[in-house]
Amino acid sequence: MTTNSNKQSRLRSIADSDMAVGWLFTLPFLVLWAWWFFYPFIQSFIRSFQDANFAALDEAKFIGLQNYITILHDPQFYRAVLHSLQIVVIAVPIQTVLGLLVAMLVNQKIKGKGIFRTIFFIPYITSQIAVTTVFMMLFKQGTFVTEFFTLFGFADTTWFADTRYALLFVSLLFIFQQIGFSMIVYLSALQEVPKDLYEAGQMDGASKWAQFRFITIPYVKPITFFVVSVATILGFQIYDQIAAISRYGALGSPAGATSTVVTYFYQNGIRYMNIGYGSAAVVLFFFIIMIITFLQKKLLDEKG
Amino acid sequence: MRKKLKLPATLMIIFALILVLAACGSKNEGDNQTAPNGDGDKKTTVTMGFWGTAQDLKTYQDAANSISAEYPNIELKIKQYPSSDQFWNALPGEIAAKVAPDFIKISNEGALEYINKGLFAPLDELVKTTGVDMGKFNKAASDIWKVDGKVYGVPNSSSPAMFFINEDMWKKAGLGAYPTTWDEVQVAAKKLTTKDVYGITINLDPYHITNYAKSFGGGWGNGKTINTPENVKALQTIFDMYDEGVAVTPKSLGFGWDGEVFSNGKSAMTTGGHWYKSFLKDAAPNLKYAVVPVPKGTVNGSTLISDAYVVLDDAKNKEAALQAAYFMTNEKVQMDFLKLGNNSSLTSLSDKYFESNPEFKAVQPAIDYSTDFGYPEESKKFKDELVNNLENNILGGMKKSPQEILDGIQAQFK
Repeated sequence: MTTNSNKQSRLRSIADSDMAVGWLFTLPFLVLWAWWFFYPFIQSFIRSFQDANFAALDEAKFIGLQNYITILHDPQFYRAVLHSLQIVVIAVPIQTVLGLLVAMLVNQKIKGKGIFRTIFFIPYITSQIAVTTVFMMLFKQGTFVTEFFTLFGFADTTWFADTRYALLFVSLLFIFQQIGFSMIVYLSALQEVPKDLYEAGQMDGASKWAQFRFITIPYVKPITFFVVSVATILGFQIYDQIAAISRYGALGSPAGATSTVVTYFYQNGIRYMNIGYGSAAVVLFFFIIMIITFLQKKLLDEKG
Repeated sequence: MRKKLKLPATLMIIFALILVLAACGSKNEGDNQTAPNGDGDKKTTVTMGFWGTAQDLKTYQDAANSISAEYPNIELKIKQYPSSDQFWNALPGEIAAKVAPDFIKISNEGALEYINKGLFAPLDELVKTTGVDMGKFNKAASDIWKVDGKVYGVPNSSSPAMFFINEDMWKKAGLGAYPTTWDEVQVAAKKLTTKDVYGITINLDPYHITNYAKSFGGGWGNGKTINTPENVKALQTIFDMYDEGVAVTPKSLGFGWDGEVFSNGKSAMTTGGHWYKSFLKDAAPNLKYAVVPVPKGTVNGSTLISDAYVVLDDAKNKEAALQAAYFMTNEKVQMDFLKLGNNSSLTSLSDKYFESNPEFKAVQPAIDYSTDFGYPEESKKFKDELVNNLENNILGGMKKSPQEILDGIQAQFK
């Protein structure tokens, strides 16, 4: 009797604990995450060791590491990785800096700042295909945009049809859309910075730059890691924009100038229906992103 | 406080479970369904997938609405895809997810790969059990859809590739008879090229490139004859026109395909097909154009594009799918398509095509010498390789010779 009552009271105390309630609240997310992300990833991992036709998965055969060996000997894969890295290296720092600057701008006591915030955020919530289509109209040969860029030494050409500029075009698209997200995240961080720190800085004669350097930046550092990590992952995953500019042609058009790791996977795994090979590319891609994110965190930690 | 949290926590768990169950339960969506009809019999829902114009969709929708007169137990749903590329890209995923249509209308451009991978059902046995009459189609169209002696498609239409010329631009340039050879095209293209207009659109797309190849007596020979001297000559002709500045790709001008360049008056000539008629009717109703056969390189040659209805191997009710597909080839539906420029595969309508489409009369002789595309079995991979290599030269400034390009591709498709 006493033992039973002890057990019941222990169960009750577990049920009442913050830990249990916390788990219960995260359970819906965990279930969905496991269903939509973890399970498919395990599936992809298993498939990566198979010779599997996407449309006849029942006939898949185990081939060990053959898919990985083939990928690592394929120059197109390295080209795709290089393009993905180029997008990330170009776009992530720019969108992070611009996101912070815009957030600081709309955090000022200015008239209509709500409108400005909305304007900067709209591209982020607009369909990627719609934004790409508008950009494609703007970056056609002979438009005022391409003519403007001739001032900086660019040729007056249709950017997304020119192998020299197509990847830059994709990077610009990404920056334009991603700034809104970075701005909102930074804005919430900036509003948390205690005002008395700036007041104290002003009293000590700190310049605006010094306040920014020694108060703002350290305060938003965790957010910077978040913004950079998210943008890096999204930069690696960029697909819709490339699919839009490659319509009616080979994915990664023109001439593979916009091929990325994702398009490499899609082309091999879905378009050519070799899902085993595509899955191997995805698994490699997963580890590439993981290593880069880990390095980013380490770098930011050391700088801090 | 903790007790207050118990209720929402429980509700969250229930919500999560419902979502998961809903996700699992939706697996069979899109499968054939049977439901009792008014007479108490079971009605089979069949879905047809296609890509095409708004005019095509209307014709199909009208046909779907009237199918019950012939097949009271079939309910037909139409699913339109935005473009052929999106169709071919989406189809494998849909097949794997078991949500693909039961039958689809496709062209012979990409069918072989799917047939060889066993995704389309052979129709021979189904034809016997359903009693559909495959003898009503002309032989050329029927033969295209036979692979290793098995029938895979109910022929819908077949027509040769065509060459389109902007009549007003042609006359304004003071040019006489329409061109019959690529040499004449090159001369005309120079005269037609102005500050705003290119003489010719050469879409770097396998359909168009194949027509150049065939007109020089070449072709891909299902992957065996990619780097032949004939194909090299064809590519050289294309490169020459680009080098002379008289040719343009749709992409360079920010357009999706050749029809858009032509309809916007940005080029005076282009290779194309029967679909131009319904497209131009909407896109440029006032544009006057002439249609001639694909010009000669060294021989008369062009592609024969053939549409057919194929039943997917995964279709739940293949017989119903074949019956619905067959219904699309009745004379009423075929006449509607004929008016839109499709050359019906029905023998009974073969004389009516050029009567209803006098603008295509000049291409009638091409029916006799036009042939299948002959892409390698891995057609998508081949097409991507071909396009990438040509774009590299035309849009990327590479200076590979046609021989180098074709040798490189040939090495991958032995």
